[in-house]
Amino acid sequence: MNDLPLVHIENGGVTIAEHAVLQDVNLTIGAGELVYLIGKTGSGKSSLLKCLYGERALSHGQGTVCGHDLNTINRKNVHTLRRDLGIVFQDFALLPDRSASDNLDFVLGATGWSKGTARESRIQACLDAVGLGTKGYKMPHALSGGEQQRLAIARALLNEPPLLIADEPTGNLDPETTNGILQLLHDLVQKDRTVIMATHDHHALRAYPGRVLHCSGGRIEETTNVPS
Amino acid sequence: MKSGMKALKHGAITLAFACLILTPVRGQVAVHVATTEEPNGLKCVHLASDAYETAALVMEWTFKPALEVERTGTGEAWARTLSAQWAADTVGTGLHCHWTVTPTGFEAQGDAASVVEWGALLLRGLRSPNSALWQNVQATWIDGWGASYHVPSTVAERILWTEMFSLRHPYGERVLPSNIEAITASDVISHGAAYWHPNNGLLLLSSPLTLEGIPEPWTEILTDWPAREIKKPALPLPSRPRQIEAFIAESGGDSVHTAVGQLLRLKPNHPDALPMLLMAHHLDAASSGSCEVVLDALASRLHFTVSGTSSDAIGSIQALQEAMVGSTRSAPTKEALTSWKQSAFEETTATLESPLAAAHLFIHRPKWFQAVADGEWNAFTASVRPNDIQRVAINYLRSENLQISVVGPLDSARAVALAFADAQFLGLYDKNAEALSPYGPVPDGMTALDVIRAHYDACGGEQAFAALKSCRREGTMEASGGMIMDVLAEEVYGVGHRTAISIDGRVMMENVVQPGEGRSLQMGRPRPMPDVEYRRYEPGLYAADMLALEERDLTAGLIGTYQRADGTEWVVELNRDGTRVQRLFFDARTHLLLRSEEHRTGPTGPVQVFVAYDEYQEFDGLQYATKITRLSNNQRMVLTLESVEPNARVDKSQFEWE
Repeated sequence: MNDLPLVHIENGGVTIAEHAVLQDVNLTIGAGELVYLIGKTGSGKSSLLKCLYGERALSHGQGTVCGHDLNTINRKNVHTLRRDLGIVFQDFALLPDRSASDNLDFVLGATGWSKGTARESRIQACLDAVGLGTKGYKMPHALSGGEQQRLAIARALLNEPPLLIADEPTGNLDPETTNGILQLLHDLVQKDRTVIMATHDHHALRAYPGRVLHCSGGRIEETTNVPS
Repeated sequence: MKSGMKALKHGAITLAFACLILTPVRGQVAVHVATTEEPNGLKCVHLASDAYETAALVMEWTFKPALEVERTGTGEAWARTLSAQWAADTVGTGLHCHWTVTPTGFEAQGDAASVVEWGALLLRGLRSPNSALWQNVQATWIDGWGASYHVPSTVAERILWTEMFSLRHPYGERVLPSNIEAITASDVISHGAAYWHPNNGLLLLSSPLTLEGIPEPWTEILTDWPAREIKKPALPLPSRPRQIEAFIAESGGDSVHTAVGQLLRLKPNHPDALPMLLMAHHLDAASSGSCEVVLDALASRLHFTVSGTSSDAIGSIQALQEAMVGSTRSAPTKEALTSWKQSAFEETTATLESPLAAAHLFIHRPKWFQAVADGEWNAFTASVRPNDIQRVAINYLRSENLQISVVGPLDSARAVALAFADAQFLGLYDKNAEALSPYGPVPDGMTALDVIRAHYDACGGEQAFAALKSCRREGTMEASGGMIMDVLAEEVYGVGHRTAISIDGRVMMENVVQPGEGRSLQMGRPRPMPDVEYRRYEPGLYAADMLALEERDLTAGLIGTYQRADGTEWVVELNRDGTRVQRLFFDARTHLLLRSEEHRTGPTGPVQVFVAYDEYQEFDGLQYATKITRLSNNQRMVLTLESVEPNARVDKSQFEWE
């Protein structure tokens, strides 16, 4: 699978309620790439990401993500795609009624890890990876915004996915915390993980260079012009 | 038995436990059913089958008590907020399920191995909704308004539902961006707290046999959910029109999108439900559109949609009408009915193969589920005979009372609408499903009072009418069917008015009003007039009733001009307490009142009354219309005045009663 692109879309299109949100999308993303998705609100960034994690079907064209065919994936097997992905949102989407460790434990339980030392070790390793090794007992509300996002990233890393999808992960964070999260995502790319990130933060594009895809007018085009 | 034991262990009261195993014929699946009830009144059902590869979770509320019209859009706002929360929870945790929030609950389907976890996320979100999401949900909803709501087929449905159920009914509620902007996070949370509670709810899980019952993490979330008092709201009963009504809206593209509805006064558990649902197969097959009968405790309906050219739509609706009429004229052959039953059996059997569809069948057609489960389909449907189909068609199908919504290029949409409805029952709408005025602009500076005064001037002068003390009018009234009655109306202005209708000299009906009250007498038996009836005879107390607006608690507005082929009319609307009472149409050239339109609510629903005023003649210098034609409920009555005596000697004692 390593020789295959992680994401490949040919002539892809997304239509919502008979309105073409995206059309003629051609995209190939390989291992170890940092890809930024930029564009105005409503330009189709989130719609594309939703297609990549199986939340929305492609209306036209073909696509594969981590070897899963987006055209044939259905309700029965879309969870297998999800297990090859890590997903991070702007608003963290943590479960507020359980501790940081239990947030991770919930996912491992749901994805078939039996209770035991391996499960606990995996949780600790992921918390360590994002710098929260000593804060596993804390409830989400007791963590700062940046720490909550780190916890969301730790959760996304639990099943060692090759691809991390981040939908405006720094949208709710102050500049200093944002930098910490970007550094963390950049470090993951250095470890051969692929990160696709929708963002409005053009500072990130300059500080941590990567491929830039611009969504506009229902189309996605690669650009080297980083907006100021 | 394990699931029953487990329910008991966790404090549930086992109401009934049934283990139904279907005999596997023709690929039929075996489904095990277990039913329990939690102490807080929540009913739980587990459908298990080794044929299921995925799992489904359905929560359904008996929404009759819960459906109330409150701030428009709040129910959908709640649904969207729940959805946003579930999206964040399930995607964030890498789990997956598809869900839909319906007007009466929600349904979800997903990976069976992780159903305990994703189901817990949904239920936890239901119990602890995150109001912080509302602001973002609200912005996204408004941003996507055009893309979501201005789709022609959606516009057609929105118009139809608004007209079928009215804005005061939950099903007819029409949300606009302005409504969404007015909704607050606390409105959303209050809605959930007020209407979604356990003692009118049903939780249904369909899963593979690997799951033994309702999972423990779910019951932990649900058992501390307090039961609440259920208040029964006063819901307006939707009423059916007396004729075909059509509504049109303009959209781009070449196609017309048509939605047709007819309300059915038929409850899902009524014995006629089965023949009606069997007949639905026939109606659907009879035309190129899609026809379904939805039996719903709140409002059952026949629903039909078709898209294509205007001639496609016309042909398809005509075919539906012919099938409806044909069903009333003759019973189907035994062979035809047998094939409908077989087709319904095959559909029902296939439904059991999907965990979600099986859940819906269990909830919405429990008798069908039971019949297939018990292998008793033939016995279940045996009672339905060809004559039952015809009887049900006669009792419920009304091809002449359809409501038709057409969206497309305006000329094409109008052509489809006018192929079925009279022009006077045609309404124009915009793409937000809001009614547009069918009238042109009013002349600058002209008011309703100007128009009314011009009418009295044309009839002999306002002063002449002001000087009138009394009047007697005599004539005949011809009803549909050729019956002719004598009519005598006498009035002393400011004192009283009496109308008497006689046949062969015998007074059959009298209506008498004094200022503020009235009496009706049928065959000599008096009864007080309700206010709405008094208001109909009240104009007889005034020589120039259209100028006595303040006395009659009316306001008048000039709302537009109506263009006839041969002239222009001014349209004046009379309102009382903000509700339209009457529309009056005056000829712009002669200034005379030509016709009026009135919406009334009768004992069996709304009635539209159209009155035409013709053949004005002069009596003592005053002009009166001597031919007054009244059309309502497809019944026509013509009043022909033979004599009018202004300032006649009229006996005042006839206006008195004990």
